[in-house]
Parts: sequence; C-alpha cells; structure tokens
Amino acid sequence: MNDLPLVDPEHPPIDREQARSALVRVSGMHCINCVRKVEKALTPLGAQAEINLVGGTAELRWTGNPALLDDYLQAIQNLGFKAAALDAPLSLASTNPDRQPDADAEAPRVAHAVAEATPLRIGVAGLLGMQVMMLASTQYFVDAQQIEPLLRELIRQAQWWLATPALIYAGAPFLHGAWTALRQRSLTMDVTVAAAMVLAYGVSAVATLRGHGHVYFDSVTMFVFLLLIARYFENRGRAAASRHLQELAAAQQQWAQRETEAGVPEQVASAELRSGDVVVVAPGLAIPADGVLLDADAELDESLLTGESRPLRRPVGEQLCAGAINAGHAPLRLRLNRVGGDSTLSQLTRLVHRAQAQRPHVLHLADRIAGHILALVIALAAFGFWLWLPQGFDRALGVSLSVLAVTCPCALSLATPAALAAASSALARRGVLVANVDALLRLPKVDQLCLDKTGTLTESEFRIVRVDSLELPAPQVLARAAALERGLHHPLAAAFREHDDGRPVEALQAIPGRGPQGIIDGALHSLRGIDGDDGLSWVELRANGKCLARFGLQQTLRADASSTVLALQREGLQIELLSGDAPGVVEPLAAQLGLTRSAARQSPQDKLDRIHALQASGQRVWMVGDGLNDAPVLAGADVSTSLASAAALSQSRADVLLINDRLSGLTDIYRQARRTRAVIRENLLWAALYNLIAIPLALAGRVDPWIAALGMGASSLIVVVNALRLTRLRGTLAASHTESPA
Amino acid sequence: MSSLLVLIPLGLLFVGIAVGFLVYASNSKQFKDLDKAARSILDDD
Repeated sequence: MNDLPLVDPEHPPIDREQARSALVRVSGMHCINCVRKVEKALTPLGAQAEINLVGGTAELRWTGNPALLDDYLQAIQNLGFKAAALDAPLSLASTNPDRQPDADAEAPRVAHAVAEATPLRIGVAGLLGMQVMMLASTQYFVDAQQIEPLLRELIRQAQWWLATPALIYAGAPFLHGAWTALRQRSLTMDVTVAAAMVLAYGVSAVATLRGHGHVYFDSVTMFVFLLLIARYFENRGRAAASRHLQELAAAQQQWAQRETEAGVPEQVASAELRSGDVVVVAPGLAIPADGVLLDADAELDESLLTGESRPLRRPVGEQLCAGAINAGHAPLRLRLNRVGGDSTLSQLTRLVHRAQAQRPHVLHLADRIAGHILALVIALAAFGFWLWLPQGFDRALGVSLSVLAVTCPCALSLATPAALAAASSALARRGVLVANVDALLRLPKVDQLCLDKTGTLTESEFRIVRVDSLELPAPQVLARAAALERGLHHPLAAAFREHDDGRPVEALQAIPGRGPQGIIDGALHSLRGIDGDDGLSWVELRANGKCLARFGLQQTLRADASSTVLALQREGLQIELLSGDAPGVVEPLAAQLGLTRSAARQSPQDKLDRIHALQASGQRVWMVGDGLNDAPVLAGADVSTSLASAAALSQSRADVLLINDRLSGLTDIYRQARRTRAVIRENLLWAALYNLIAIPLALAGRVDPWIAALGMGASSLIVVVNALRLTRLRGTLAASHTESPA
Repeated sequence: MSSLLVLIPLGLLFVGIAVGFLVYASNSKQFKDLDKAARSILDDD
C-alpha cells in the first residue's frame, strides 16, 4: 500500500478502497471568493476540493464511481469557470498491482490548459477605446455650446455605438463573473467592477437618449481595457509562479511504445499501460511510468524531478521514475511497476499542487479582510453618492464609480499566495520540494537547527577503512564476517557484501540488539558492535568467544556538508548534531564540522525529548533527518526537512523534501524563506497603503473613474510582479550553489 | 465642423474594419504561436 498522503489528516477518514482523487485545471478563478464558490458547489455533490488559486488547479477527492468526475467538472463549469481534468482519477488503493478491471477502465483525460481569449478582448477594447477617447475629448476641451447640436448628438451616439461592443464583448469576463457570483449570492471583485461598468454605461445611455447630461463612455471603455490588461499580466504572472507545476503536468508522456508478448513494439496511450508491461523509450523522450531498467545502462536527464541538470548514468536493474528523459543515444527498455496516478511524476505533481493549494494562517486573515473590504466598498460607493449628490447627479455618480473602481482587495488576497507559489516554484526547480508552504513562513523565525548524522550529514553507506586481524589473513576474516551479514539489510551489512565468497553458514540468526551469529567451519562465529574513540564505527568478529578481528567502518561525509553548516551558521542559526551513534563517532564529526554542540547515542525518543526541551526554552527548532527512521522527530519540530529520493516521496512526511540528495539545499530553503517573508510583508504593506490612500481620495472626488481603473489594475500587477522576483535564481540561490562544492 | 459629420462615420467604418481584421487574425490562430514563423527559417526545406 502506498502511503501517498492523499488524505489530509484534517479531513474525515474515507474508505481507501473507494477513495478517488483527480487533479483538475480550473480557469477563471481570480480571488478567494471564487475559490469558496467552487468548494461550496462541490461539497453537496460529495467531493472535497483543495484549490490552488495561484496555479489555477484543484485536487478533487471523492469516494465511489470514478465517472463522478464528469459531474464535478460540470458543476464547476456551471459556476462560470472552465474545468478540465489533468490526469485520470486515482484510486487511493490503486498502488496494488492487481488493480480491478473497472479501475483500469478509467478513461484517460488529456491535459488541456484552458486559455481565455484575453488578447483579442484587449485588442477590441483598445481599438474601440481609442476612438471613444478621441470623441470624448470634445466634451473636455471644447465648450459644448459651441458645437452644432447635430454634431454633438453624433459624437454622443458614436461613443455609444463604440462603447457597446467594448462592454458586451471585451468586458464579458467581468460581466459573466459578476452574474455567476450574484446567482451564487456571493461577492467577488467582478461584482464591483461590473457594477461600475454597467452603472456608468446605463447612465450614459440614458443621457444620450435624452440629449443632455454627462456621458462616461470613455470611462467604460478605458475601464475594460485597463482591467483586461491588468488581468492578462496577472494571469501570466500567476502562470510563471506555478510554472514548475505546469512543467510537471506537461511532462506526463501521453503515448508510449509498449512491447507485445511477441516482443513487437506498439504505440499505446500512457493511460493504457499496466504494471508489468515492458516499454521502449526512444532517445529524447520521457519515461511514461515508473519501472525497472532492463538490458543495458542508461543516461537519464532527471532535471525536472530532482533539479540535477547533468544527465545521470543508471545501471541495469535500477528503479527509474516517470518524467526522466532518455538522454542517451539508444532506446532503453524498462518493466513498469507503477503506472498512471501512482507514478513518481504524478505524486510529485500532486505534492506541488497540494503545497500551492494550502492556505497558511496569514492568508486566511488576508482573505477575511478582503471579503469585508468588498462589502465596505459597496457601502462607501453609496455613501459617496449621497455625500456628493448636492453637487449634482453627475458629480455624485463619478465619485461612486471611482470608489467602486479604485478598490483592490485582490491585491490583498494575492499578496501571500503569489509570493509562496513563486518561492516554492523556484525551489522545486532546484530539487527542493516544499510540501507544506506554512514551513516557508515559519522558517525565518527558527533559531535552532538540529541535524541527524547518518543519511543526512553523511552518506547512508558505510565502507570498511580498517581491518585489525589477530590470527587469520584479512580476506579470511572479511569473508567470515560477510557470511554472517548475508541476507541482512543494514548499512553495515552492505559494507561487507563485496567480500562474501559464498561459504556456508549454519544456524545463521540475527539477535536483536546484539548482531548476527552462525556456525562457520564448526565454530560459533558472531559479530558485535564495540566502542571506539577515533571517529570510526567498530565491529568485532568472534569465534567461540575469542576475538578474531576488528573492523573499522566509516561513513562518507557529504561533499557539501561543511560548506552548508558554515553557511547556515553565518545566517545566525545555532546548530546541534543529534545521532544514534557512539560518542567516539559523533564528537570527531562535530569537531570536523565546527559544531560545538552534539549528542550521541540518541534514540528517536531522546531526539524528540531534546527538541521539546529546546522548544520549552522558547526556541524554534528546525529538524533535518533522513525522513524514514526519524519521522516522529521530524513531526515534533517546528519545521522539518528530509533528504528523500524521488522514489521515496510518498513515505516522507517532512515539510520540505530535498529530492536531489544535495545538502546545500538547506541554505537555499532558509534564504528563500527569508526573502519570501520580506516580499510578503512588502506586498501586504503595499495593498494596505494603496487602499488606505486610494479610497479616501476617491471619496474626496480627486480620482476620475478611468484613473481609478488604472490604479486598481496596477495594484494587482505590482503585487504579482514583486512576488515574481522570488522566481529568479540569481542572488540567493545562485550564491548558495557557488558555495557548494557539490 | 460640418466635415466631422462625414469623418466621424468614416472613422467608425475604419475601426469596424480594423476590429474585423483583428478577429480574423485571432480566429485564424495567428497569435497562437508567435515564435513559429521565426523558427521556421531555421528548419530544413
């Protein structure tokens, strides 16, 4: 059973055999109210939606018939959004290779990015708006009484004819959004925008028919034009922020070459692939599903999965992940074992989506404020109209329109998610997967970093560096030790494997807490761990209780361990080494890394107690481990990071995963988190200042409606562009890479 | 001033034609891939 965390612990438990999920692209969502609309529409149908506003994706979860997905897509479309499935519905129980035929029959769905026809609308609004502005200039620069009545009437009529298609066609996204929001009895930004447009257009049309009164057709067309431009760039910015998610989704190979039983290749849709199939991947193409490499070594480009830009050589028998590209010159063959939604690429896509869909605490606060602001704006527009009515209807209407147009709670809603998405997207391209975006907000507050040793600061593998044989030649004692370690899956056992000459062992058994023992050549042999004080892990081989040899084993320090520790210390973090090894191993390593604090012989419970003690003293703790053996310790820390291979993604519960096996990713994370916090603060400050200044100015009658529209669009745009600074890799990330010898 | 009585309808006609061309260009997918034409000169004949 795969432990892919498809079910959020906060959600009620569901029947895993019937549980389904699907990743869906939803176009047209612009603010938190749009998100709530989708969630509210799906809940009565029995589906839970986790929505990524920035990336425009939603993960739907439900139980029962996979075909229900069509109903959910239809429900989303009924709200006025466009929806398309990005992958086939995934059964939570589907990691079992013996999948049920009905689950296999789930229809493949091709990923389609649903693009709005915004450029054409912008073009239409721009062309018509220019004409309207030219005609409207007569009412600003020439005394109306000096114009012939017939010409004056023609100028108004011409503006009306031009403004009508601009409003109905180019402004359709806003009108449609407002209409669907009102039908759902919810308030979105589209409601205030559409209200301003329709109000200005309606009053101008009446004035034109009556032949007197002020007309606002120029404001209507400029309003539509400027808002469309702002929305276009906002969408582009959001797409850039979630580009990694799109790249992952795009890497899903739609077609594959499968070998028939006769060994003849046939082209099939990737959705038809089954566990056990043998596929052929031509050079330059991506692997369609996870599987084991057959026949010959291969060179793979795994940059999308791990951020490693150089092609890597993979030996025969190695597990390969979907999404890796065959970078060699010959086709490769592999036998599949995880297909469709179970593949590493699918899991990675979902993890990235889920991270972007999460709504940190600070975001809930911003959303609540934005929701209240919308209601307040409408009240203020009415108040402005009442306040300015003694100055004339035209003036009062102009003020109301400005108030409606100038307000921008969208900037407030976008400020945090845009920054988090941009930051996590940049990290993901470097092989750092942020599974919990809240961690990015907590990380800058951390003062203590606790590092595990084995598998974190050091490679997992041991190598034998000393053999002290008391009686027999070294190869003899090594062969006996290897025979005792035969069949054991401990890193120490792996170090002896190459010395195994296949000699027989009788009554071989592993005694928990002591080590293996067995009878070799009629004598009872055993292996026991012993203490040393020279930084090596020592093992003693005994025969009938008599010491035959001692083996000194060492783990290789990761190439970038020293530079990473030094860089993080310079950032002001206190670092402590927590290890289950003996003091003789831990203390020299700590000294080598320049760490003054280390603790040896720490069980997982001891490590957890240490973290709790640090937290009790008011410190915030960041724990870094291998993610498998120290899961409870990671769970107890304020922020957790684990080094996990792409294939082991599903087993890790850490907030941040280093899937490229590069420790210097820790510096990337920490620096990126600090930059993210700064950008979020700037964005929130900007959004708050803008609204605090713009609304009173509009109420005071100092802002024309078209300037208000420009201000609103610019405000959203500034927030997104500022967040996009986090996607640039030069500076923080690039600096950390130059420090790293790896 | 009276010339404007002709020029304004003429302007409306021209903007209508311009919008028509824009819609035609968009419908014929001329804005779908702006890099394709530039890349095509590098392709082998």
